Amino acid sequence: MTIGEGRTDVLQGTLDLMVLKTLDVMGPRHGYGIARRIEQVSDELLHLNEGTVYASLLRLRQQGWIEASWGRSENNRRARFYAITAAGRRRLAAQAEDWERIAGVMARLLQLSPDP
Amino acid sequence: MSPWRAVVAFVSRVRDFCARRRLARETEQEIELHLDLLAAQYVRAGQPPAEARRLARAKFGGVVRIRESLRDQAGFPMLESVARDVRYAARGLLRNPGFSLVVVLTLGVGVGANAAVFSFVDAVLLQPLPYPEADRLVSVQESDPPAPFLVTPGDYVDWKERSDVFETLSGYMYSVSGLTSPSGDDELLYTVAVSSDFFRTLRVPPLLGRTFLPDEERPGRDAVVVLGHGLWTRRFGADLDVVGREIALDGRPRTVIGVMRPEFEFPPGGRDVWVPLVLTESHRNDRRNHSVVTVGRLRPGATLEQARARMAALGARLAEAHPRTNAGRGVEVVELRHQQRGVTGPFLALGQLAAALVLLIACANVSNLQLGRMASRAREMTVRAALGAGRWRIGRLVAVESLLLALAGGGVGVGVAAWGVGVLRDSISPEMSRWIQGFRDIAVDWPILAFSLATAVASGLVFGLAAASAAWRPAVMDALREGAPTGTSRRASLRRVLVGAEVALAVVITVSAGQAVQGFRSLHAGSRGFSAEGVGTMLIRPPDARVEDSRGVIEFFGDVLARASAVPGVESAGLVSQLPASLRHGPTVELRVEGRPEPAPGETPLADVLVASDGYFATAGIPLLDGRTFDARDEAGEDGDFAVVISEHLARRYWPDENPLGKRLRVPAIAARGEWARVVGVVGDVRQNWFEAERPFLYLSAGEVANRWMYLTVRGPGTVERLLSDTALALERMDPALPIFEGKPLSAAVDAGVAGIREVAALMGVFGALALLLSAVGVYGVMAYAVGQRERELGIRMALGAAPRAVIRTVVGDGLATAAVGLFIGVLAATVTTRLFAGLLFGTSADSAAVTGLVSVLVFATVLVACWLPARVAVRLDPVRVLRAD
Repeated sequence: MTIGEGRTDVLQGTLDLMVLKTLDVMGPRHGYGIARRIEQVSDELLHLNEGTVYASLLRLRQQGWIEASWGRSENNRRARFYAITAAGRRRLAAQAEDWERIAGVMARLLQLSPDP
Repeated sequence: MSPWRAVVAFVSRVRDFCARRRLARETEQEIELHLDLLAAQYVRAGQPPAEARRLARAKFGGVVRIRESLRDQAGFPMLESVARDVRYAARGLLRNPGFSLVVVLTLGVGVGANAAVFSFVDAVLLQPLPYPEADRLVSVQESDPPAPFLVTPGDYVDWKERSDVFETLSGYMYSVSGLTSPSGDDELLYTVAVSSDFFRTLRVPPLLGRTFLPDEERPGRDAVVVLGHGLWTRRFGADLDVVGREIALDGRPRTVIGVMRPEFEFPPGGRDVWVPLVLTESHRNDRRNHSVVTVGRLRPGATLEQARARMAALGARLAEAHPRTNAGRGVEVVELRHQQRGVTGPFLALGQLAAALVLLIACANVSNLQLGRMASRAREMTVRAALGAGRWRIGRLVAVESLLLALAGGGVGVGVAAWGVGVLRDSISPEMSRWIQGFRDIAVDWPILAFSLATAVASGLVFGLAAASAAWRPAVMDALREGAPTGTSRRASLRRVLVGAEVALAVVITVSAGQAVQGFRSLHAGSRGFSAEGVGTMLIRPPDARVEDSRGVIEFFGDVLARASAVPGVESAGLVSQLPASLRHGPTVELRVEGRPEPAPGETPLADVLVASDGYFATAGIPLLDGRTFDARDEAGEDGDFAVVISEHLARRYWPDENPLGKRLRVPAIAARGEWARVVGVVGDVRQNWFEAERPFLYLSAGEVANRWMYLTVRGPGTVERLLSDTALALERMDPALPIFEGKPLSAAVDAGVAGIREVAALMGVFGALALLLSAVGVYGVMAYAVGQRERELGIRMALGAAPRAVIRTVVGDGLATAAVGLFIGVLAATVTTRLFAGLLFGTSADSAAVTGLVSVLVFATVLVACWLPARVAVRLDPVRVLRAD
């Protein structure tokens, strides 16, 4: 995983985490709903190529962290809804913890001032 | 990721792959829905529908790319596209069956021939010997021995007793012995007399019974024998109770004490029986006659370098102690597995070189054909590039094609190799093969097969890619432009280099092949100083019970000769202790010439001693050059001296400016009795083997000197078989129990003796023909392509009124110029190889101008035809049609 330079970049691992968290909080969603939710939460700070959400969904599904089922969208079309699995919750907890630890370390590192 | 997760992910990936069509449809629906919902959102925000649609797509990101990445994620993209490439490549190759067939056969032959020969090299030269800790097995030899490997018994005993680098240093001597049985089923056994630590040195246990005890090296205790597995099954029906039985070797009873395992065949050349090596006091002091071969095991921890240093020092001490015999005699230690290298190595290397050159030609061929094919596909490649196929994609297509060809060629190669190894094995007579260490382990060598194949694939790949890269290098539009020349000059020059190289290689191989065949014919065509036509031979040994002393032996053979001469149909008969051109030679002894000062060390006259009867020279067709052969005066001992007949070589060497007739010599065999030998005649040289120049020969009279083993030779006008059976009958009447061995035509004995070179010559002949054929195919293919590429140009010339003859001349001239350069380089290189070859094989000369000339003409003619045929086709085409074709 490499750190991108621009604010528009969504790192692969972080997108997976975002999708998992969204499904955990919001319950089953289709791809469009997930994209809307992430956009809303990110307060327009994050520019997301929404197509990549589907790549993330496929990846998570292949790992067994989410499962898909067919349902009806708000405009009454056939849509695939994704839901987090038990394994996915465990994964989310572990990933979130990792992320917070790294974020904490980064925050402290960036706050360091030169030695007096 | 835990391994379990990886498995889960892989399984669901496989599942997705299986359902990939449904999945793709569903993904399409999902994307469609997403775009619609996004667009609806923009419409709600006041955008016109078309703009909303555009914005939605922009926010989604590249739809096509997402779709592809999803498809890749859901399966095995590499695999799928490779499978597609394979299908496509296979179709392409089958569309062009001539090209594919030529490439596959070319590769198969090159790869197979190379692997077959290398299988030999590997088994004979490279494989470790099949003994425990075989890397510690060595042989101690003289650095410049008069005969390969042989040392004197005196030196051997000193080395054994006074060196400290060996766990054991054993010695052995080759001989033959006659196994007789009451049923009259006599057999000549290859017998090796070995020191008692011989088997311990090699660390080979017997299959049954035991091997020799130190005590059994003493005279009187040595009536024991160890049987080889082959003899045990052949003659004793694999009888488990054979140990303890008595068998008669040369009429002397010996107790069987053991039987060796089937795989034990050491030393090379002897595998029937092993008997104890008994060294008498006179043996122990004998530093003149070379008869013993050594095999030792280095002490644990002792290195080869240490052993070499110690033995060299010991050799120097012995030279000081025995200056008369040992001065200048170096001692060296060689690894046992390398002992044969000096003898078989050059021949195998020669075969391998030829095979490698054939493979090189095959590679050049494949590359050439690939280049030509790519050239004709340049437009296809550029179209692909223009349609957005990446370099990787085009390269992969070419690679897949090359691999397919290589695999098919490899299949053929495996067949050729398996067949070739069989043919090579069978072509070597047992008489020859039993001398080749590791012969029974010769089998197809898979690693080298893979290596040869990889070489061929790599060359096809490299040149295929080079050609393909030429297709995408020029600006795409440029190449697509109607009528742009489709071959680039870079490719054309690469092709020229390849054609030149191919011609050069073909010349080198063919010249060497011609030389080998010529050399073999010169060996065969009676230029060896005797005539085998119409001569039959058999090996006879009087039973020990029948002859009491050497006088008895002489009388016995006199009787044999008289009986044989009296057989109707026998014109002449003679006796000799060693057949000509039989690979073996008699004992090599040091001579002293009367009235000459003590020779400087290392310059003592040497000669191979043979015992022969007077009639032998006429029977074997050896010409008398001066003086006389033996006669009754010698046997009567009239002038007191023993009579000797010497060979021309010996006469020239030691009496260059004098007449040797009447000169007196001390010959060790008879000097012991204090008597002189007098030269009574000079006969022509006989070449005893194919790997050395003439050896100096000295013949003693069978009427004066006893030799227990003698070959009876008979010559007559009838068939040799008839001659042999009539003679055998006559001898049977003389003594029904007389053992007769190896009754066969002299020509058969000679054939067995030239076995090695016959095989090499045949192999070279095959390789030469192959090389010529393959390079002709290659040159033809390239020329045909080149002309095909120029069709348009030629069409224009024809349309403008050029005479067909002139056009043909241009095309052919171009090809011949390239070939001429290759020919020139090839001839230069061949002068080097022929010189190497001449040193290796007697009877061939470095002056191979005739062969070279013939080959040059042949190659040139091939190239001429290869250029002329396509050119003729080209000028016959209708210019208008050619010009329209683009």
